[in-house]
Amino acid sequence: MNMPPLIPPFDFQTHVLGPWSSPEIAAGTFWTMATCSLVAICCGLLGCFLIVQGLALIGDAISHTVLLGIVVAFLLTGQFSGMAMLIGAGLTGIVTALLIEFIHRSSRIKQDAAIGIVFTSLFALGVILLNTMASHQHIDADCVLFGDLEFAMFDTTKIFGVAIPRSAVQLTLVTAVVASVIALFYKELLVSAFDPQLAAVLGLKPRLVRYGLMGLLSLAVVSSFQAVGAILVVAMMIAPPATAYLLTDRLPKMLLLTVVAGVISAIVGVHVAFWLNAATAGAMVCVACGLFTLAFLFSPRHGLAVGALRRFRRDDPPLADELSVSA
Amino acid sequence: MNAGLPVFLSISDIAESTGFGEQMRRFWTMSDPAVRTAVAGTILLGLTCGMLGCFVVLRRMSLLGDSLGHAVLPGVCAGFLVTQTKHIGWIFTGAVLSALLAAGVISLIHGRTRLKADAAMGLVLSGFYGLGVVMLTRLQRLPLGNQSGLNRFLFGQASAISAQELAIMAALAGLVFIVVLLTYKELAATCFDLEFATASGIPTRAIHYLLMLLVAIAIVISIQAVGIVLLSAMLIIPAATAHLLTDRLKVMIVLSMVFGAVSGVAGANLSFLKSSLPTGPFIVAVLLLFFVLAFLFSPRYGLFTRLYGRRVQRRQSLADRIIKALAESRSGTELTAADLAATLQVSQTEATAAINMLRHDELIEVAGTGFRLTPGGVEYADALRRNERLWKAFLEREGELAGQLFDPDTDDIERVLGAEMIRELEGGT
Repeated sequence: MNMPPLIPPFDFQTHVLGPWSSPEIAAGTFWTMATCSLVAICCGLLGCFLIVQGLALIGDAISHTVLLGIVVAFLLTGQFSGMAMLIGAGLTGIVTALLIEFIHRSSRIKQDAAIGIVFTSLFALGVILLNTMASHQHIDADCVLFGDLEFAMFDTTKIFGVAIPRSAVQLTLVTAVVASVIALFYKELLVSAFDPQLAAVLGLKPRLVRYGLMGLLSLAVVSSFQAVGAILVVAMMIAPPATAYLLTDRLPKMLLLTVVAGVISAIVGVHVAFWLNAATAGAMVCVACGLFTLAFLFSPRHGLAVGALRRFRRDDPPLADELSVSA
Repeated sequence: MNAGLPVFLSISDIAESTGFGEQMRRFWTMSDPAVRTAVAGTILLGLTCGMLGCFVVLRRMSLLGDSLGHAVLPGVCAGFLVTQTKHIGWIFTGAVLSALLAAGVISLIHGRTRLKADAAMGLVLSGFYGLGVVMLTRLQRLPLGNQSGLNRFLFGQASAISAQELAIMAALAGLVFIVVLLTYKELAATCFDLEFATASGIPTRAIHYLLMLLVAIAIVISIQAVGIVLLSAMLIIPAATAHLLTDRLKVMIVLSMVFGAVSGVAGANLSFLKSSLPTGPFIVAVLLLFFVLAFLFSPRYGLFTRLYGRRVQRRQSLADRIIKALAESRSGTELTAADLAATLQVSQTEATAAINMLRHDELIEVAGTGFRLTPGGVEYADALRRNERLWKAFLEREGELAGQLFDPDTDDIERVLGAEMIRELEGGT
């Protein structure tokens, strides 16, 4: 069988410069990268607050259940974009968080099981509706699972005479909203994240802050949905903030590092996907997890390798003494 | 729409043009061998996941199950790569290995960094899944034969289980059952009190990894029919439903296995009704139905049951207060419902409900515009007064010890305090 190799040989000319070779191709590459970067930025910024509060898996749950909101909004309005979808998704996110809390509070079911029950059920309902009711669709099972970046790039709109992918426009708006909400409510978010009791004493309403966060998260997820799919959104929500969390102790620095890690994942990921001829979203996630592995091993303060080295150094002097004595 | 979920040799292919009744008949008569394997397969996975799910849920590892479920994707793709066909043995091996690797990486990240367990799980879940997506899309874009069939591992397709796969599934399920039977005592002990289990010499770490291995095998049994994305539902929901219904682990395991198997078959049936509907989401929908019913109406822990019980209790205690009020005013005029509501400071509807209950029990009767006690009611009022007097004496004598037993709403004070104590108290007053 004449089959191309599984991992094609890497060629700098083709795989790194190739995507930029002509203006048309370069524009496509640029918008793909921009969309991926925006996904990484808006999910990552919110992810920072999830990580420090131990809410990462509620983020996971919301990224699944938003599908139900999207499908229901589609059945009601007949379109897969615009306000209806954003509102539907935002509501689903908050409902998910409320349902999890309701099941957990009013029965003997523990929180982890409650999360598992709510997200699998709502996601399953979404898939069933998608398969049975939404018959002429722009999203299908594949899109749910790994996104449909190629299609998203064709769906453009003209702004000042430049063709810009619709999802890039939407993501820009959502990222701007996320960034400004974080800037405006920085103090509330900070205190609620690290010390909910103090926040309650100060009258900052940590519960309200949390549901607000869930609503914003749903907006980010639904906007990223078409680009990366439901499940990989989680990766962009967790991997870059986790990387940053291993590198710094300060929240502002963590937010900044998250953005940097996210953008690097997007840029490198697009090239890797081009090289391997595989899904862009998946490649981006692999790069983001690669960055995490680097931080895990070599972070100056928390890294595994650095810790081992430090222990080795500490053991070093007595050994040296012995040697000098014997010499 | 279901370009992503192709079905080969599927029973549903033939079914395109036939109607609902016809499909139901074909499913339930089981004349079609493909239907028989699908049903047997879903029963097997329902039983296995239901059983292991109990341990997973009680040990609060539900989301670990979810992470492992997603993490098998790269293993499935790698297993496919070995032979470049859907040879199920390699795919199963790849899936188990990648689930175990994921479990290892989660404990490594959780143990060695300051990231919380949930972040570690989310990271591994999405990282492995991302790697799997890259491998899957890479495979799909290679000019191979029928590699697109890998997609059925995502949402599951019970009708695509072959007889050979069923044999492997049965062997694995049998293995899981035997291991659980042999280590039942240890598994049960670690579910409820980990420290006690450790102190009594049970190797809890080994049991933890054993459970991970068993869960990985259960996942492998399920990926065919339920799919990777919704796998965790199979582990969590039947066990959580059973947990709402009973306090005994053995009963819980049996119930959970029943729920798992019934929903498996029902899901397979539903997905069979229309061509190439995925099985997984339907199984989850049936599981959800069971869960909601148990959540609302479980005799002990149901939401409605508890609310109703609380209302009955409140009405009972209001009725007791009405009896007391009537007994105190016996010499004077009869009290109307409005009087009673006003004296006891409750709404008129509440008072009427309690009065109706008392009239039904023939403790009070209508007299003129109001109510008065029947002879039975007088007796009851005396009993109430006696209880109250005894409790008061008891509290005075027993001091703080009394806090544990004090239960003024009880009907049977002899049972709560013991006959001897009652005699003492009666003698004292």
